[in-house]
Amino acid sequence: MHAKIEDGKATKIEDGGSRIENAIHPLSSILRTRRTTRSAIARERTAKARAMLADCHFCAHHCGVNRLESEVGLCHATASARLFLAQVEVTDELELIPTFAIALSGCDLRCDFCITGLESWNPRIGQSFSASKIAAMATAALDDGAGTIMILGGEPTIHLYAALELVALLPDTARLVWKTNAHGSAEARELLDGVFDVWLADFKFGNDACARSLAKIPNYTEIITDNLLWANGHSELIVRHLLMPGHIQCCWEPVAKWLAENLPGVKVNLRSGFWPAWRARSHPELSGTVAAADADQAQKIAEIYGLNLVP
Amino acid sequence: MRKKIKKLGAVLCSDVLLLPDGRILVQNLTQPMAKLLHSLNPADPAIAARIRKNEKTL
Repeated sequence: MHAKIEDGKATKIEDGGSRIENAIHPLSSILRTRRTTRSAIARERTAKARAMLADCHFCAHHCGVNRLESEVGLCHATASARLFLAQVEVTDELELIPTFAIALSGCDLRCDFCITGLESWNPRIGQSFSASKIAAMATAALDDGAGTIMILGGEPTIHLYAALELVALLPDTARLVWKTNAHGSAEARELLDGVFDVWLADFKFGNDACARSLAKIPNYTEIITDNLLWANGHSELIVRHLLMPGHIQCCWEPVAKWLAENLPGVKVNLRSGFWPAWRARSHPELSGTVAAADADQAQKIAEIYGLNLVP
Repeated sequence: MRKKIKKLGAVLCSDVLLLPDGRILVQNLTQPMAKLLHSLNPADPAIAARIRKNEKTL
C-alpha cells in the first residue's frame, strides 16, 4: 500500500483492482500541517487581538479600556501602533545576533531609568506601523544574513495585534524573538503561544518595593515570575537582568535566587551597561553607572547560585 | 539622533555614552558601529565577538 504525492496533490493508487482510499491521508496530513503554520496561526490571532482592543487586557494592568474608541489606559496606546526603530543590530545575546530589531513605541511600565524613555513613554512617537513594509525589510535582512527577527519596544505586548499581523507576513522558517518586560496578561500569552521561538524577557526588580518606586508597578514579582514560568514551558527562554547601581542586594540577588530555585539552567544574561538615562537621576542611587566592584559582586552572586550566564 | 530620522531603514543609529574613565557604553549597536569600536580597542572581547558574527550583514 502506498500513496504518491506530486506537486502537492495526492494520487490514489489502485492496488489489484481495489481502490486504496486511505492513500489520501498523507495529503490530509500535509494540509493539516500547512493550516497550522506559524503565519497562519498569527493571521488568525491578529483578528482576535484586534477585537480585544475594545476591552484591552493585553498587559497585567488590565485597564479594560476601549482603544478602538480612542480610550487609553496606563500605556496611553491607541489602536494604531507606531515604531521608532527598525534595523539590524548586534547588541543582543550572541546567539541571537545579527538581529533585525523592530521597536514599537509605547510601554505599559514607567521605568524612570528607561534607556528609550521618550519612545517608551509616548506611543505616539515614531512612524506609523506598516506590517507589509516592515515584513519586507525584515525578510531582506534575513536574506542578508540576519539570524533572527526581534520584536521589542517600548513593550510590544501593548501592540500585540500589530506584532501578530507582522508575524503573519514573515517566513515560517525565520527565528523570531519576543523581547518583553514579561508584564503581559494571561490573555496575551494565549495569543502568543507558539508564535515566537525565543522569549527574551526582563526580570528587572527583585522585590515589589523597588518595582513600585522605580517603575510604578504594583505586584511586580508575582506577575513576572508567573510569566517567566509560562514562557519557559512554551518557548525557549532567555532572562535578562540589567544591573542597577545600588540595587545589587535588593534586586539582583533575589532575582538570581529565584531563577536558581525555579528555572534552574535557564539562560540568563546579566547586563552591566546601565547608564542614567531618562529620569534616572530622580533616584540618587541611579545617577551613575555600575561600578566595576559591583559588577564583580554580581558575577559572584551568579556563580554562587550556579546560573547559566550567556553573553 | 534617533528622533530626527525621517525614514526607517535609511539611516542606522546607535546611542553611545563615553565615560570619563574611558569606558564606552552602547545601545542599539549596529554592525558598522561595532566595527568602529573594535578598531578603537581590538582587545575588547565583547565587541570582537559581535563583529565576528556574520560579516555579510550590515
